[in-house]
Amino acid sequence: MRLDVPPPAARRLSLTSLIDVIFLLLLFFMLSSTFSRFGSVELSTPGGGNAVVRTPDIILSVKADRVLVNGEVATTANLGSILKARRAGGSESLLILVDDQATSQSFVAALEQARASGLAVSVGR
Amino acid sequence: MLRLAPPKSRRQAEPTIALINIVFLMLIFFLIAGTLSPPTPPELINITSENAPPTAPPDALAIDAVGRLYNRAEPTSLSAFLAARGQGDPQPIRVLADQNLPARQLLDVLGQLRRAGAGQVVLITERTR
Repeated sequence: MRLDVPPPAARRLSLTSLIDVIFLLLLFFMLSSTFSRFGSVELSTPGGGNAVVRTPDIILSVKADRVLVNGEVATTANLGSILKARRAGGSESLLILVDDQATSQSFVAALEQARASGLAVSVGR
Repeated sequence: MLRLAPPKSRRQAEPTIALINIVFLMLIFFLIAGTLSPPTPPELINITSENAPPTAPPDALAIDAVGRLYNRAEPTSLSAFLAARGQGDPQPIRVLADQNLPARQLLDVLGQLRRAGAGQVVLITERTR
């Protein structure tokens, strides 16, 4: 005898597990990604191999709230132009001295400005 | 006798496809716009700088505001960090420092790294533009 077996009804694809996985991926990428952009500053430390033997032309003293260029007060805004003017005036080397209270932020800012002016920079304390 | 049509009991199915669409879009956005980064100590405020050359997210030795050392958000010491790093790694050592760390302490750590035989040391900052 022939039986007409009805074909099995096509089950709808279950979306629940798919959503589960996508949610997990979304959470992972949301939590582990960063949107800040990073930069790198090279550092030459005191006592390094290439210590400056001769006297520096400029001494840049980084204090807690201000920066002194050969004893004259400079602000973060005009430090770059002061250093460029001195470079144009014939200065070649620069020594950065950090004060007890100076923060890393002010030190790095001064270091960047000094590098940008084209002087040979060394760091002391 | 009058027969009333039974009330429609089936709920309207939720628009699952739309939900998946949105979640997919968010997933694609985070995939493309974000950069995967190793964890850093959460309370660390990065040093900002304007014209440092860009670099990858830091896998670095982190120094917090009072001078404690971290490797991937785990407290560490200088010797442990150098031992974990292995000898003869040609990559420069990357250092991430807090804004408010006294600059002399930063220089102290750098000097110790130098004395321990580290080659090049690079400070990682956050670019503001």
